[in-house]
Amino acid sequence: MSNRAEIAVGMSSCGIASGARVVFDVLSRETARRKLPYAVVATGCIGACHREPLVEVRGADGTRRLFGDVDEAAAVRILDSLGGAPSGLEENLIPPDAPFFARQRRIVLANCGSIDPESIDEYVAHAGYTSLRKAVTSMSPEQVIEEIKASGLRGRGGAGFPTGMKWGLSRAVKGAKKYVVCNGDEGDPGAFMDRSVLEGDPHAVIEGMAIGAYAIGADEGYFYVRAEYPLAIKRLVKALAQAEERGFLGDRIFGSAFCLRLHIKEGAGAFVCGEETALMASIEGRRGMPRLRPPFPSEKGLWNLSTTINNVETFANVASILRMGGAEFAKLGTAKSKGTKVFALAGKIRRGGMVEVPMGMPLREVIYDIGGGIRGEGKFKAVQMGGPSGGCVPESLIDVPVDYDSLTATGAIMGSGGMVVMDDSTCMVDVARYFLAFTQNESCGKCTFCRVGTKRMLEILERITQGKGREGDVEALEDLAQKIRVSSLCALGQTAPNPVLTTLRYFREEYEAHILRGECPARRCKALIRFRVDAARCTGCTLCSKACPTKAISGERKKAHVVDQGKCVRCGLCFEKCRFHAIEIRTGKDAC
Amino acid sequence: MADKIEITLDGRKILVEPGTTLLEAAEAQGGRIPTLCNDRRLEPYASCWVCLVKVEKAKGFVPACSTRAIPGMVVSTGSPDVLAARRMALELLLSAHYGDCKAPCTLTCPSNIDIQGYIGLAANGRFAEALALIRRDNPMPATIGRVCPHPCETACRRGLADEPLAINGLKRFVADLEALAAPAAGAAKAAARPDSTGRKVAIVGAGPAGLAAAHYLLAEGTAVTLLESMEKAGGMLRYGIPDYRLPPAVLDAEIAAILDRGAELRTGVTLGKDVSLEELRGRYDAVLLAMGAWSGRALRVPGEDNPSVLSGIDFLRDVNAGRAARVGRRVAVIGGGNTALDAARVSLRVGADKVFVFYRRTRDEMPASPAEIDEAMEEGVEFTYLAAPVSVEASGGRLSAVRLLRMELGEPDSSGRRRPVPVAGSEFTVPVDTVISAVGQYAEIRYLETAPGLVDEKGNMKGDPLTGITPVPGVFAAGDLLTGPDIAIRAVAGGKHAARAILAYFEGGTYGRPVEFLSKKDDFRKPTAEDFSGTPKVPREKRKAVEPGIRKRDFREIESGFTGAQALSEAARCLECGCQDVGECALKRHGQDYQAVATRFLGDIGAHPVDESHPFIRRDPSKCVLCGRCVRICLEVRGIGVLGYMYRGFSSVVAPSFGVPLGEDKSCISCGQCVSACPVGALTEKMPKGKTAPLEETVEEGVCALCSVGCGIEYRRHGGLLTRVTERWDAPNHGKLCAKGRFGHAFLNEAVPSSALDAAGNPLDREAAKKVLDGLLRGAKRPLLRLSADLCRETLEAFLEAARRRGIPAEAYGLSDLDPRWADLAAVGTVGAQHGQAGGLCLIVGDLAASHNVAFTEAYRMRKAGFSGLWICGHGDAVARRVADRVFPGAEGIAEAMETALADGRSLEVLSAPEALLRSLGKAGESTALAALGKAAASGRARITLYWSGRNGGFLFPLLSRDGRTPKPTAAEADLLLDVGVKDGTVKGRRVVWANRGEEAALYLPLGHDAWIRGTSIVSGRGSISLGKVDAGSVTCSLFA
Repeated sequence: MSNRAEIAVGMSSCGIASGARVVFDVLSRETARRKLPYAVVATGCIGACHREPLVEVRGADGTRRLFGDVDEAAAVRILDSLGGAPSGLEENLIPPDAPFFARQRRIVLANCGSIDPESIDEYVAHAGYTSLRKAVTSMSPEQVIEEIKASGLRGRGGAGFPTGMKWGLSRAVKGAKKYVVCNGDEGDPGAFMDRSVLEGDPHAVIEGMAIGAYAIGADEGYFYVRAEYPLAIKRLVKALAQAEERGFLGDRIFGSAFCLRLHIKEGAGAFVCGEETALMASIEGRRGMPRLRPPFPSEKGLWNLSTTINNVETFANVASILRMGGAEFAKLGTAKSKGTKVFALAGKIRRGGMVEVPMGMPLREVIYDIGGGIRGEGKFKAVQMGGPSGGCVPESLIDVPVDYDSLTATGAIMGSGGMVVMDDSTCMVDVARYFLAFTQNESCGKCTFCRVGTKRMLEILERITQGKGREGDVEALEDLAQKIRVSSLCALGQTAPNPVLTTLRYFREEYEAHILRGECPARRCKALIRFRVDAARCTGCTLCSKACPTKAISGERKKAHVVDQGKCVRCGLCFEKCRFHAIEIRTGKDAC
Repeated sequence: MADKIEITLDGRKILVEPGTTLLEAAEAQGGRIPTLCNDRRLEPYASCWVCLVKVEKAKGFVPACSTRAIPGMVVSTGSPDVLAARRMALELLLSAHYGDCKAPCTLTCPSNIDIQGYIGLAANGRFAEALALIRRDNPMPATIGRVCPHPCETACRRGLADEPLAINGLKRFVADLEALAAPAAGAAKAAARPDSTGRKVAIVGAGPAGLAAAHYLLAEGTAVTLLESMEKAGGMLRYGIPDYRLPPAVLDAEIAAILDRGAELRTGVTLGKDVSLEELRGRYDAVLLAMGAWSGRALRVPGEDNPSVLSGIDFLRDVNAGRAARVGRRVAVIGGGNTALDAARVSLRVGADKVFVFYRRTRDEMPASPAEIDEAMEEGVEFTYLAAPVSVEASGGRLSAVRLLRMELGEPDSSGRRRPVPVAGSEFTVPVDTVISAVGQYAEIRYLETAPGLVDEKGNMKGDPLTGITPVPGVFAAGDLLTGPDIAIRAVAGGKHAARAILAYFEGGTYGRPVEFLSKKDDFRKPTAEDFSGTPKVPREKRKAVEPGIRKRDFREIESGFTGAQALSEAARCLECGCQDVGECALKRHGQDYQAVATRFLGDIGAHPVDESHPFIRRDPSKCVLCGRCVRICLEVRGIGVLGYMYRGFSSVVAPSFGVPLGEDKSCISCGQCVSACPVGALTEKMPKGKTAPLEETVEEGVCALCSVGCGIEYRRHGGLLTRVTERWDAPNHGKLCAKGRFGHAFLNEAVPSSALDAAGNPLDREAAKKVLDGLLRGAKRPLLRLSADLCRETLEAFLEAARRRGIPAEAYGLSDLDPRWADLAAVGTVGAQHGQAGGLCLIVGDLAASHNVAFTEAYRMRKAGFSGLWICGHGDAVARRVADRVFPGAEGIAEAMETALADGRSLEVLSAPEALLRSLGKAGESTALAALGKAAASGRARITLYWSGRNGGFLFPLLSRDGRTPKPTAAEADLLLDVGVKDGTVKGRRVVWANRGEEAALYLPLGHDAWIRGTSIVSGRGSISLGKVDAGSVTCSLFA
């Protein structure tokens, strides 16, 4: 715990996007002007993204008060209230026992939102680099690997391969030169765990990576971070320079024989470069295209040399494991999934943000207890897990524990931790189409089933959502999906059909409604819906006709209005504007 | 060598070498696993997934090409799920493969004549080969070349660009050309009669179907008797088509050619009258019925029984048979088909003043060919559309008028044409004295009802129109009899297939038309005019026709044929729609094997324009299957990387960097390696100075004679046309070729003048040529013999010997600037060297990549395989820097590299090309290189191989450069140049030139292609090899000797 008084502003990308920079400037300026005994500092993602910008006031006595939704006025009020009781800030104050935080268990995110990510001193003050020192000065590489094995840590990138085993395999490869690579090419739509960790606690990742390098015998490594994460890259560059200056990286680390040089390679944003063989091709300067494994990277990796690749979150666990001991870590979680997992909670959820929970927590608790359930009036329908490679878990399975194997059994996957909550206004066919459009667009184009097969699936889905579905489309989708799954070169192709397969598994009747009855049960697919005015409810307020961009609604003031279906583009603005629930969305036969 | 490992392949335990892929393992067992992306010149890649197999315990299927055997592996290569997944892979690829395996013209032709093939041959001036190709599917090209309404031309894609190709005119041209060259001969004379099988077939009706069937039956040794009810053979061709469209002499010649193969023709014999079907069945092994459809349909209007109402087909038959056929002064023809038009035009020719054609629909629906309608209109025939007769009027027994009713078009009927509907009260009368009814024909075959099952209830012939097989065993049918009235080429096709059906029947089998797997653009998106907006417009060649005013009074043929020049330029208009790779395409082959349905997945096709920018390579990205072989072979094998991937997902394309046209990519060395790697037709070769066409090829192994590397090649020919040169898997090229080898042999398609020519280009006989040569030699004070090192050793030696005897000095053309010291090294170099001594170092001196790319690439291959190191000195472009371990640029780099290499201690392989080195580094650089190479040679640790641009540079240069005794004049000083194989456009005047084509010279003497591509050659690093025999005596014409 820090002993000085601080005002910390969450300055991850999420915070900045919500206006944290202005808040930071106001706080800095005003604190200086008022000569207040507080340091205004930037910190990483505090997690409660639904309340950004977030400001935490940390008293010298260790007291902490967290404020959300802080604008300029609130910032001034926060300063006004220093030393006294907060006034006019009741809405902003987030108590530490707020449900959003109460159920979390923070290991990876322990420092995130707590320390200044650009200060190595703060990291060191929080026991930073002690694990690395311990490893290189008092442990053999084999002992490190044993410790990781004992922790039961599995890869957090999605596949869940046991980290200790991976390191052991790499260690066993003979060769003078080995590489270690940190995969920070987080690409799933809606996922931002890796970015937040890199932005909020870069040294933890560097330390974990250095320990990994020591364990396997690598002396060089790469951070592969997508160029769309400029802040993460900036902080990583700074952190690497600081670590080198302190001798935590470079030659003879902590006086041992262990040397390590780390570089940053900025990815150009191709989703497939998150796949390890494509990632390595990209580092080598070639087009990011996967190749068949075996040989695995541990055998033939970068420039044909042994290479160990782990995800950001995996590395972020390592220092903590050495600190608390593998056995202690293994107490967290389930039999086969140890530790915690960070999730990016998004979609139709009341409290979205970044959360870290122990493995095995039922999905219901994550969504309802932490996330606060569905935002708005809708009804929970499903949660999409694992991004485009994952699948949808329906309401009936909401009590499933979040661990690797339980999730896989549902047809979804743990993935990197994207969790998109959907309510009953979501069309599941459209969701499948959306994710498939993403993978199709991001397919590298190398192998047939992924390049052409997903395109054909997408065309069928587009057809269905446009009301042009035919009998046999569902069967064609299933046939394609099954064959693409088993006949693709890399995980991108192998998992691309998952959103379709899981929605077909749990929501098949929605597909059938589209095809057979021309009906979109969620009233989402524009080609299948009609907006109509319920004359009984319409007061003739003209709000809808004013809002309509195509002048499709007409009617006299104070009389019922009418929608001209020929002009209507089904944007839904009238529906949103109407205060009397007079606009109905009809689908299928009702729409005629 | 590590121990073999055991795997289970389809239930059998087998032993394989470690590192073997499952594809290799299966192939070694004789199994066939399909693949598109695998290429043995390249590392496995696993992009197409057509080779997928099942491996026990593996997650999903695995690609056999890239999965290496591990002990205990259990592999299944042919289970139903594997086959289904492979089929889907093929169907997915096919759904995004926008191309035509075969051209629409060929597919539209009822007899599927290889139109693109013969047009391509004609465009290359190979008219005889073109005719032979037509005859494969049509034994009557001169006839069909005149009468066919050519649906092929309607289908011709050139029509979308400007006007369709004159396909039929070209067919007629090549057929007439042969007839003109050998009027009495015909092709049949040359065709040997096969041994008789003892089978006998009776063919009833000697029309196009019967004659075609006879042709194909005779070719297989079957005896044929043609029974013809008319006086002469020819059927509808003779008696239904007027002479002005088909002169009888043309038909006679083609029928004679068929009969000359041994058919018996019995005329004046009518089935059902003179002989019965039962009798024929008793006497012959099979009977083919091909009597045609000769009965005219009735008008079904009052007054029709008037004797001046004629049946169109009867009228034409009478005129054609030379019988009296009178029409009145005003003639009304009812109908819109070809019979109607022929009857109208013939009416004019037999004396009518005014001829009307009445048709109940509009011109657009008229079955007659548009050209014929135009010609009839030119001749003054008056057309009235949307009119149908209601009665024929007579006064005093004489026909006086025809009454008609106006029609309008209603809803489409079953034929898809809009049905004519009468307009009430619109009757009108046209005074005429003759009415010719031509509203349709049918076959009157009630007399065949004695054979049960042959005639259906409507009186039509029963049988499969595709094969001619009828319900009665041993009885077949073809032509109009079976199909109803149709065009002649369909009857020919019917005869052809019926003949095959009969042959199959003899063998006890059944016959079905072969079903070929075909990819067709029309299945996905029909090409439009927009697709051809970039095609330069070239008007269709026009043929001469007799003026309408003159022609309508007689029966002379109206249209003349193309001239030779017209034929060549017309054929050159062909857009080559059918895929060049149709014979070798792996996608087509696998598609056929796996019964893939090309249209199973319809969707976006990703069509791209064809890239014609490269002189030798055509790139059609719409056919690309993204296997990546071209990309990899260019980068991995050649070290260049011209082609690469662009974009992602379904939009991915393979294209040159930044998407520039291939022809504009300066890094391309035109080696054609990408073409040879492409498993489909996305990359195909264009033969320089000629038209490409997908043709059946004969393959002849050879060794490339265009430089001293000596690559294994295959000459591919169709008849006398060299279509392509492809690579062989021989040392030293291992499946590689350079631009010279692949595209440099086009000269073999140029005709060598057969006789000597004087300065004015006039042919000289042997004696005259000898006189001119002797005169030139006598008058010369300072003659000089200049020899091209491209020629074979026998030729060179013969000339050297002759020159020595006459005391004429000789020089190696193009090599005289080289330092004579190369000769010492050349001697070293001819000792059998192989690239890449294990653990050694290969040192390339100069830009061998540009001058001898195959040798360069081979050194790169050995380096990549880890067999030897590779240094490049004297040169250092981007490619050199990419592929070599060390680069020492510039002339000074040579000395430095050589010293470093000698100090390195490894054994040294030195490769260099003296001419290229001199060109790029100049005299000083040459001198530096020679000093360094001399040192290396003296060390005894280096083996030096020199590559020459002429195949026999290694022989000729040492021989002549050491010959310091004879004082030689320079070319400028010499008063007579004796140039052998030397093409030197800069020297005019007093030259004697031995070459394979004309040069400006006082005397030209022919030298056959053989002297370039056969004979003995000195191959760098391998010594002397023989490429076949060359008669050195004949090449020197014995004149000089």
